[in-house]
Amino acid sequence: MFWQVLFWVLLVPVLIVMGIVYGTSKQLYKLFQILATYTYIITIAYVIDVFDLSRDWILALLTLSAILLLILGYQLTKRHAKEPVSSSKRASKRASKAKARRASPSRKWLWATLGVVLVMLVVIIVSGFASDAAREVSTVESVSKAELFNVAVKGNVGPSGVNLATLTYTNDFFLPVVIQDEFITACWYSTSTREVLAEDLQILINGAYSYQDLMRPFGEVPPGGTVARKLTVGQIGVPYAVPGTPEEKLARDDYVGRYAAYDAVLLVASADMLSCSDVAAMRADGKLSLDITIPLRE
Amino acid sequence: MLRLEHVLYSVGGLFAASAIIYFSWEYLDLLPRIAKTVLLGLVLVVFLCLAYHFQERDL
Repeated sequence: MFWQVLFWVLLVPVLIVMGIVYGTSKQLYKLFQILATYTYIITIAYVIDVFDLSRDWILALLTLSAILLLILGYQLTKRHAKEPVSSSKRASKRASKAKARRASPSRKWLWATLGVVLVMLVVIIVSGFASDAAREVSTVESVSKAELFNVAVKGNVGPSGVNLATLTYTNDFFLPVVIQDEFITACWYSTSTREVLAEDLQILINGAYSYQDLMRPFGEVPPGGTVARKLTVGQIGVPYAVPGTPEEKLARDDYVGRYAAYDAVLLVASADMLSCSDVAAMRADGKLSLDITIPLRE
Repeated sequence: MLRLEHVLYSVGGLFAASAIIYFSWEYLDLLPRIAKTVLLGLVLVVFLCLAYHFQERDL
């Protein structure tokens, strides 16, 4: 997210320049011109960063921006060059016009500002009307206990783990809709005793861990489109918490037996940080946005 | 000399700034990228309009 880096890196020099400009000229409008230029730079950086533009588009955007700003600079230079320094008839006529304007200034730019702010509010409200994309969950029929145990023995197998489910988001709105990521985890579960083992089955969403997803920008569903997210178990518990090689672990009855009482996987999701030790309480409080049981097969 | 309307303008401005900062912090992430791009462009236009407004008044 280089646009954010650029925002903060340029902010301090821009504030310093604004301070110097106002200190020397005491003219407020120059500060807004500097702010407008800074906003333009950040807008271009943002567009390049978040829309994953191709090299050609980035080059075109940078070239067009350079041409636009150079033309604007040239126009300003021409305008300043036309204004004579000596007190000629034209200079005094311009000065009296400026004096008359200051005496009764129009409010057209204020109205324009208000109009633009209203347009911004409309954009925000219309975008806000796009409620969450409809989510469908399709799970596997059952999960192999042996495959899951293999993940537990190895500790961490990454994206080549055990498939659990696919979340499909559908957007019927005419604007893109942002997917709000959630904490998703799975737990060993006993359907008879309703007991949840306090050992997290770490879920990967499209190959990345659930908590890591929340550190990245939320995904978007395009208008009239769908986005699918595959959930796999990539890690069980804390890797290497139980010492020994996979063969040594398999030889220990207490290690193999710890999962014997559980006959299902409980797949859960919540907006808050979630671990299997909290699941029972969160189920009781109705705080889970996803609560599905997937049977285990031998 | 400090007048009441200056105090009210200042406090009103502080509230407006707080609302903008709070909105950015809580809600901006929920808007799609295209909406954020459009808003950035409109902020640019707001700054330009204000620049012209103050330039007319020689401020």
